[in-house]
Amino acid sequence: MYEGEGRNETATPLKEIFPLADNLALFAITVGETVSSEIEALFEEGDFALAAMLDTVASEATEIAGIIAERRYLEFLVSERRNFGESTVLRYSPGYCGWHVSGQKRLFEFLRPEEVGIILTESYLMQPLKSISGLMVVGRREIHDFEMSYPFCENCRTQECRLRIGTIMKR
Amino acid sequence: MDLLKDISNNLQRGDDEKVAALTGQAIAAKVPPKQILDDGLIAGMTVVGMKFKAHDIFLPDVLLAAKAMYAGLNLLKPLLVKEDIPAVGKVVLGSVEGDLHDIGKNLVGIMLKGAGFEIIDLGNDVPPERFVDAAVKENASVIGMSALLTTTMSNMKKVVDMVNERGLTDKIKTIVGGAPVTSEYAGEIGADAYAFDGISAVDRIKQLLGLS
Ligand code: B12
Ligand code: SF4
Repeated sequence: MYEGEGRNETATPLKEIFPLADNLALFAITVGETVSSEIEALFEEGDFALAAMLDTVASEATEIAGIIAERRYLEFLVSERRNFGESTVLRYSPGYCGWHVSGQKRLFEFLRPEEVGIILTESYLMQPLKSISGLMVVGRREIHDFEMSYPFCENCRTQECRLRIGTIMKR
Repeated sequence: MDLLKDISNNLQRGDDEKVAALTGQAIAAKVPPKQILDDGLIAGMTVVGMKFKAHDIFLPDVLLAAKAMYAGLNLLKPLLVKEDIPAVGKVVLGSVEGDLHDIGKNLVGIMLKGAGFEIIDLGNDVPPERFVDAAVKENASVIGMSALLTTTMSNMKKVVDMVNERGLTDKIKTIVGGAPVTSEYAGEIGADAYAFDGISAVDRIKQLLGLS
């Protein structure tokens, strides 16, 4: 599944992390199309500021929906006695850190998010636009800690992995 | 002229109603439309752009100013057309084939309009030939392309190649942008320019057209 269409970078953080996990789950989440239509309508009416702000809020909401899903998953594992709450959960998505965005194809074939209204276009774009997909990795915190010394890290603008690892280390 | 200064100041404050009213007054006072545009509306937007670049104001402030600018522009437009006053330049804008995201491209369009450019917005999921055909038909001097993902970004090259193949490189310049696009990538595919956001897109396009 992870190899997808064979377009990933040779070495990636996730490739080293997921074999160490206790539990794994694929996910696809959307906040729906309505908000995107609303943003578009605001742009057309000339309410650019409101449109741009709503866009930012909708993107943030999608991320928060991801965080909620992480929590639910962990709660589910605890309730099933498959996990005792000592481990932590973190999301990884195709299109980030060496996992090619085309990886979504296999993910979609397996997960069938069409059932909740998310479709994947030929260019690997999800519709509705405010959607995310990927893998939730449950395990000891330490497994998520890695050096950002991959070749593609050189061009990375955000170095967001640091922030992400930071948040779970604090939890 | 005080009236034009008033227009510029109110535009900077994002007061669309005042800008519309003052533009109406200026038109009634027989101030040449081109002067209202340049010394009132565009002058105000230029200050806003500079303040944004200096991080003195935020994006919503810029967009409120843009809305105020449009309020004035809508009144001026018929007069500018009647007097056959050309825009600073014409830009064909769109999100490339396979790309269904609009926001970034829209923001760039707003800033360009604010700087006095005429925008031909082709929307999203625009095939390469539509970009080039539209630019030829509209006699535009720039094609601007937007992409959200690396997978759609590759369609930018097709447009650049098509401009080359049709021997239009002297007439039509290409500029690219969007989250995964970098200036290195622009160089790699042979695009004439890259811009990080709408404000820098204005600067880069002016450079391309020898306007600054
Ligand atoms: C917010 C965000 C999201 C949001 C919303 C997406 C949206 N646009 O609506 C959410 C959380 C939903 C999301 C999801 C995903 N995202 Co995302 N996302 C971002 C982020 C952080 C900002 C993008 C954004 O909306 N910015 C605000 C808008 C206004 O900016 P913009 O569109 O970029 O436009 C500005 C400039 O780019 C420029 N510009 C734009 N067009 C043009 C055109 C011209 C001519 C010029 C000159 C300039 C220009 O000016 C604009 C105004 O300032 C970027 C990273 C980043 N920092 O850019 C990643 C990013 C775009 N996402 C990425 C990815 C991978 C995804 C997902 C595929 C992840 C996943 N598997 O779930 C999904 C795909 C969603 C889908 N529908 O298919 C990658 C894409 C890289 C790639 N490999 O292709 C990025 C680049 C992050 C990264 N890895 O570095 N994402
Ligand atoms: S530095 Fe950037 S590319 Fe490298 S792992 Fe961290 S977030 Fe990913």
